[in-house]
Amino acid sequence: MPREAELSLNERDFILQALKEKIRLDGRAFDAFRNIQLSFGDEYGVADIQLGKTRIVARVSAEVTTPYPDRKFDGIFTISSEFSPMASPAFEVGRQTQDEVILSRILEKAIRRSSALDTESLCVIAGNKCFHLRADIHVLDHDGNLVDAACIALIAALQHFRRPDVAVEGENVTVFSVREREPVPLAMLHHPLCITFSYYNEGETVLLDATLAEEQVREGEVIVTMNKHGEVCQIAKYGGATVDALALLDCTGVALNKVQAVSKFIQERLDLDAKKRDLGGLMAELSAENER
Amino acid sequence: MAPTATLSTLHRADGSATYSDAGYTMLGAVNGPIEVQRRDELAEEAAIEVNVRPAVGVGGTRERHLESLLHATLKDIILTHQFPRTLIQLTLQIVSVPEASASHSRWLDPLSCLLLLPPLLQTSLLTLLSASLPLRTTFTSTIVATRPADENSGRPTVLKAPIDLKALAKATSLHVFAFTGDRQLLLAESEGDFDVNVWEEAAEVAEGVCCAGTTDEVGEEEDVGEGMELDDDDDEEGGVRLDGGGLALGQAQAQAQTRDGGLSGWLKSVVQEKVRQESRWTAVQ
Repeated sequence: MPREAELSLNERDFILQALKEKIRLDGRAFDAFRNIQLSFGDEYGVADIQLGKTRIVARVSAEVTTPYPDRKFDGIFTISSEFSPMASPAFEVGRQTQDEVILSRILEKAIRRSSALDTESLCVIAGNKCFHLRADIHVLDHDGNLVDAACIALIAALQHFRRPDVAVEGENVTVFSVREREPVPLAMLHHPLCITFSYYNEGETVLLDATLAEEQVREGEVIVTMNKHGEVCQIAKYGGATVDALALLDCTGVALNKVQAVSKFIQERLDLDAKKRDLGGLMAELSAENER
Repeated sequence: MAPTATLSTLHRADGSATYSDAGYTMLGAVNGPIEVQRRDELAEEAAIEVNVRPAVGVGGTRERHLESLLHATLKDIILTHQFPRTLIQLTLQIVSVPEASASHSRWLDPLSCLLLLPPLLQTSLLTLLSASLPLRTTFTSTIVATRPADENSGRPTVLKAPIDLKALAKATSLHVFAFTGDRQLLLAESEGDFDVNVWEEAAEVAEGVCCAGTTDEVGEEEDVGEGMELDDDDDEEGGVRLDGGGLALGQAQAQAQTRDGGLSGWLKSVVQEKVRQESRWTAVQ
């Protein structure tokens, strides 16, 4: 398999020199994200995000299975993020690259282990039946910052998803199709988002939303996951560059601003999509959801 | 409803295409010719690798079967001998499939793959065209459903795509056909109960759908082939549907549909529109 095309020495020097002079290759400010486009599919739980040229589709689906014997009251939630050669010829089918491992571990930590999703609400009959929620991350185009983009796509897809309604009578479970009963949204406890900081010039230059070229020349990265209330879910640091502890505190401040902006953006897009689906204004009457 | 297609939607891959028809949306990307692993290397031609990735979950036996069908078909279409000791890597991502309704019919059985085959074939061809890989010929593919002859007419009923779920539930057999640009049968896959008469009837209908209005196909396809080389320079602009292009494409499609009424005509209109877009100076936003 071909390796990822490495940047030439001249390109590297050019990018680094430009960064020293406080200029980015695409003219963005150091703390600016690329343009985000988010769209939802016709079905529930499909989110298509474009972050500059990076494009990721997240798809959430649910089926009824038996819960794990040691976790009788919990539903199952799995995230699968397998890369395909579509994003880059360097990604081989059936062999994980380092990017893929990092992405799946970060998503696992940031979303699954931070219990963004209340898995207990996926339980139908304790120890017998529960929903298995599956999130597939399809990376279609790779131009850097996969972690942030995948996280936004996944959170948006989870918020957009509706699981089929169920009725329990003793041991019998009826799963209603979309036509029979309006499906119900997932119980989400919070909406964590990842923000990646890339470090250059021995920690002096910090970039947000690095492109692929910028990622290839960076010395280190710090991935901060937090929700819009400023609660930090995880911090991961990769790469050799030393990062000052106080600078990390700074990171969380910057990340909070970004997370709040992105959360607001996702909510706007969700509202727009809900309005588009709510033809004739019947959605409120169809819903069986209780106000909290 | 004519299928819709957008060429060169991804910036990283050498060629890519989005195709949607009757609820099926596929995204194809091809990289090639690229370096090949030693064990796959062929001394005199390019190796072809096809990956089909389902919308949900990881690929299983159904995807492997589809891959083998696609591989066998594409091997005869791509001029592989022009790129010895290389690899042409085609990835097909199924983005969405129509929702299976409550009236489950046996054709929506997870083991049946015929419904997926025509959109995958169409996407793979558009992807290869987008990458300007040299092809022996173009092809189009469709699916038809048949019902056995009833008492009155004595002829079997053959339904053209798009086949709705009700008709699908009543059908006794499904047939997928692919025809090349010069009306040669390229692929025939069938499932269900049928006899030779029914198959011949189905093949005739499918040929009508695939090849209508292709008398001077060969000559014109060459023109298109030359034009396609233009799109190497500027894949970033991407997409047949830039700016007002979507409208123009719609019109081109409508014209092609009224003139030819076949998938070949549709395919030509898609490529022509792409070439028209690429060979024109456009203002960068």
